[in-house]
Amino acid sequence: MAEFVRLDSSTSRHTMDKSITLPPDEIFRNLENAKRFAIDIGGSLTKLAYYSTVQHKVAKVRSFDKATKEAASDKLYEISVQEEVTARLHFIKFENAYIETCLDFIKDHLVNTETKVIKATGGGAHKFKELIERKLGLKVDKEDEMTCLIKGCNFVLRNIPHEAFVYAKHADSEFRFQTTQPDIFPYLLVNIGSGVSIVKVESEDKFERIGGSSIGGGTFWGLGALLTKTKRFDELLQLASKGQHTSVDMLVKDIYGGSYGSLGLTGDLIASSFGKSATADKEFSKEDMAKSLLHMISNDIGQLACLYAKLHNLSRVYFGGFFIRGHPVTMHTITYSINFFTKGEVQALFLRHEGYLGAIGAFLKGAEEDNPNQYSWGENYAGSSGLMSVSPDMNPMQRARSGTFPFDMLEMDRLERQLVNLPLLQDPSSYIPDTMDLTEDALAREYWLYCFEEALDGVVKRAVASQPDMPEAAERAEKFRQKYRHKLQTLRHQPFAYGSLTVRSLLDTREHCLNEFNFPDPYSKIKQNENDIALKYYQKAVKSLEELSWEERQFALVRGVLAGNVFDWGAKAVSDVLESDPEFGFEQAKRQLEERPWLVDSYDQWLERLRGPPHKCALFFVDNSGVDIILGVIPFVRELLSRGTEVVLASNSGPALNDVTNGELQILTERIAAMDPVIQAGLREDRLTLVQSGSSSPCLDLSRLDKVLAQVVRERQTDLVIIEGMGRAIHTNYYAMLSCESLKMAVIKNSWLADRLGGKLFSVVFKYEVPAGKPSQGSAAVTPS
Amino acid sequence: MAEFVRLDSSTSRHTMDKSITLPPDEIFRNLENAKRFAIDIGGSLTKLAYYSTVQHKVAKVRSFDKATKEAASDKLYEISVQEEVTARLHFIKFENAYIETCLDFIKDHLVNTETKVIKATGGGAHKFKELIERKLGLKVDKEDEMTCLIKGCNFVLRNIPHEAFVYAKHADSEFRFQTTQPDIFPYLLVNIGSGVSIVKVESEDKFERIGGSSIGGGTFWGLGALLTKTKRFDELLQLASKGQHTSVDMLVKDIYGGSYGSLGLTGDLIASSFGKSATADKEFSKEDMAKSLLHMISNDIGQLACLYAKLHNLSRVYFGGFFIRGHPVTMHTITYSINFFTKGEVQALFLRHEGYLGAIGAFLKGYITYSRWRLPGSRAMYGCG
Repeated sequence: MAEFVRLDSSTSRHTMDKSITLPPDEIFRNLENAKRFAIDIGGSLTKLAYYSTVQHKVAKVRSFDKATKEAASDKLYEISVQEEVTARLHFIKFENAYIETCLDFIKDHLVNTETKVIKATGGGAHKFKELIERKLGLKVDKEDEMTCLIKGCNFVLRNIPHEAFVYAKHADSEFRFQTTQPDIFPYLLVNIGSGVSIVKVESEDKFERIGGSSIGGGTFWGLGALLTKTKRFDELLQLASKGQHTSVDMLVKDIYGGSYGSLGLTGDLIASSFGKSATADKEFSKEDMAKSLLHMISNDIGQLACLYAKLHNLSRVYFGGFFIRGHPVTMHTITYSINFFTKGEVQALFLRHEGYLGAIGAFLKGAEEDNPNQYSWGENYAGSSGLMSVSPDMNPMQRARSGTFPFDMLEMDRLERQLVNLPLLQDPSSYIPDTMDLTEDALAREYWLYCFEEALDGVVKRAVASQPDMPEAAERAEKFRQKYRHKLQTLRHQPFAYGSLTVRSLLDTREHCLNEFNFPDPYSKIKQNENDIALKYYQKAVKSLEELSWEERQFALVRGVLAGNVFDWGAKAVSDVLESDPEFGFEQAKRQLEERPWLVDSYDQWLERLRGPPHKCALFFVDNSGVDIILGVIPFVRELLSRGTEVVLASNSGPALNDVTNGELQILTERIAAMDPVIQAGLREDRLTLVQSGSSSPCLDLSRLDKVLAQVVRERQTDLVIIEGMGRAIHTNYYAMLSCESLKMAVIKNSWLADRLGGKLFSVVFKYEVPAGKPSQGSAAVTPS
Repeated sequence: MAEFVRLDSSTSRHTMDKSITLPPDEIFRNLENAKRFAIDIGGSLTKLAYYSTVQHKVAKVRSFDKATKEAASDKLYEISVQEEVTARLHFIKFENAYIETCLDFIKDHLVNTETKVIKATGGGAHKFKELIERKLGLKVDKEDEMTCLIKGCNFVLRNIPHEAFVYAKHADSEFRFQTTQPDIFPYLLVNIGSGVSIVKVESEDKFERIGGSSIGGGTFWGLGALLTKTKRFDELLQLASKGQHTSVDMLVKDIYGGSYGSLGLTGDLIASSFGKSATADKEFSKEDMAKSLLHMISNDIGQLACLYAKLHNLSRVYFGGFFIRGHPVTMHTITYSINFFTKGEVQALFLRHEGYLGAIGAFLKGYITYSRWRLPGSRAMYGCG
């Protein structure tokens, strides 16, 4: 068993030049493998993009050779840690003032000599052209600004879940994130820089600037500076946020004494911006004038945007540009304006990574030979700063943390597989994977953040224990702890940092951080061990099931899946038991289960359905290794196969907690096939298929699944989807509406959640659903035709 | 001043009381026969309307009686001068500052005791309500401002040939008058007062305020006053007409070094109004700031007007309100903006009697008459205060 043969830590690689104040390990990561640079220089911020290859550890499982098996060990399979090279996109944003320092730093660390050009865009590109060429020795290759912006926008809309959000100042959560749309086109992009550009985007390569306005961010800034003698844009916004526009603006009621009812104008409506300053002989406060100016400009842009949207029949309108970027004040006024002018028909949408669009686009232009758009990309929570990380008034703490150099980062990993929607979603555009949005539920947020913080010690311990031969594992684990704890702290203050805060995003962030510090699969050995043990009981379990009557067996199979699902290292209540009592057995788990009627109980309908004709094909999203998969799921699958139903087993592509991975499941099914003719026949006749989900998360996002899975589901005419486990069926997908029959099974292994759902620890959710309008096959069987 | 006479009458003579400082023979004519008053009080100007009957001489021709013909003369027919009474509408416009003097004058000359009410409209109507009632002893009857405006607009478009015109600053003749359309509907009226109202008019009685903007004449005036310390609207326009907007505005070429060809933006296009004042550490001249402001507001209104015209499929767009009224500078910038945004597909139209629309409408509201009217004498287009 080779494990971490080469001592390697990405964190120790950077030797920093001490004369530079850039924070090591945090900015310009992986520069030594960097290639394909792109830079977007705006009026005040520089955005740099590059592509790197990241070498990191992955845990692989492999069956022992038959020949050497007896000699080697009694283990089912061996685990080897291998080096894998994956692609990553890095985006860094910093103030133009630091551009020289940054270029020097890059030059010093850039070892890849293949890089000859740097793609550049943005208004500042031609100003800094010479500096860049001199410092980096790269040729600056200018790209069209608007093309880059649109390319970048398409990219983030397609690849980053919860990229777009609606801003609601007075709501419980200011940011309401939108789920990714299956088709992002067409949309309107309103870019508010110095002026305003209004662009209609119809497809990846087709866009048109359909309008614009000279009244934009530069007008706010310029007029604001003249009126208030305040030169800084941020300060002007600050002034505005404190002012009263009614002292400067002439309202409808100032003219008519009240509302103008017959025209539908309320008294508070602004009739004339700055109308009072025309005749009043008095001084106006800076704050009031700034506020009036802000309203004037926001309302004007909002109205124009609405008119263009209507004229071109577009309902999705995204706003960007420095006027908007990271400024709740302007997001609020623009939102207000759009609501006013469209009477709520159109929502103003904003983007989390709006500041990076130009840089992303310029990068993509330069990387066309790599076909970046052929892949799916995922936001790396470990390496990304999150929304408003450096906004001066939002988070002074974070600004101080990075010392003298405030910056913001985004990292995206190239996923091995292209991700698509599950074809069986009833309405992909309204599908929301997560059951609970913690950004909107302060109590739940408090609990889960606490819960993850509490569990951190255990995770660190587990991570260290998984690499006993690595002396520096403890040090890395400590870095992991710091990083994840910092993420949790950030999320406490800015729950919106990475889109909607959910249990899933907390889990995924933890996985990303673990990977970051080279703990690719802390549970690999535990899983291996549990798989070994469970497998020994397989035949006995199957035999005892076969002795039961049909009806008894159906119930026992369901109870088996549920009891198996109790074995979960991801749940604190259970991991404590497993830790202290390794013999915690399958039978004991069954005794822990709630008696019927369960918390959610449609078992009777399920049983009724089973009396009917068999399903054509079932898609089963599996959960944990060990007892869960081997003694719970496989017997259940076996029964489906026996009924004549084809089964597609979907498991994670990469490791997450003790979830069974596709690699492990392949070995397990082979082993089981060797002792079970039903499984063997299933595999041989291609009625039992294993597919990857495309995910490495303990949860499940049905809108981002492996393309192959989607293809198989379609080909097999899948008419039943089974989702198992708390992560996939409760934290996510509890409310997911499918276009075919579905079965969601889980045991609630968290007392807080149980309480929330009105149950108790080890309550059972057994949710069998038939889509509305589709008569269940079962009832059809009751009245045979 | 504008006067309308019913089409069966012609011009007349009358006498004025000499003891009053108001110009005799010129203003408030025929008060002694006046009835049906209406008043439109705007932010700075008052417009008064009334109806009078005018007794005047008409020359009549008559064939000689066959019987007497030979005896009298060899003329074909005889001419006799007769008295005839015809109806006339009077509209007078003056600054709000003179309202009290005017009300006194009217009171002194009003002999018709049948008049009990005065129709009133305009933003100032409620402000001066009490004064009017006290001075004139008439009950102020408020009429909806927009309804009056539209009614007045329909009236002038229908009754006055060459009412509408296109403004072309550099053409041989600045004013290109339009012939009266057989059907005046539908049209868009963009009224630029303190703010902007954009009204779609579909028939005599059907109109809708489809949009508006708070960036209007009041914004030019208010921001202009703050920026230049110049308090008078006319002076601000004067400043603007002498300024250079390019020193304050950021142009496309200031950002990109030239045009932005792929987006079809020329280098001289304003990318950001006042964009240069954001970062430049210098003083800007009053003229330049006023000019930049004028462009900003005119372009914005022009763009909104075009978008609403397109959205509602309207090709006739009339502009009015005090921002426009009698100001070649703003007519020019609005015309320029409309040409730019519609690429010439829509023309900005202005009205000769735009300032009277509210007063005409208020008058008509009370005394609907569908007689045809015509303008008796041609007065100066931008005269009368």
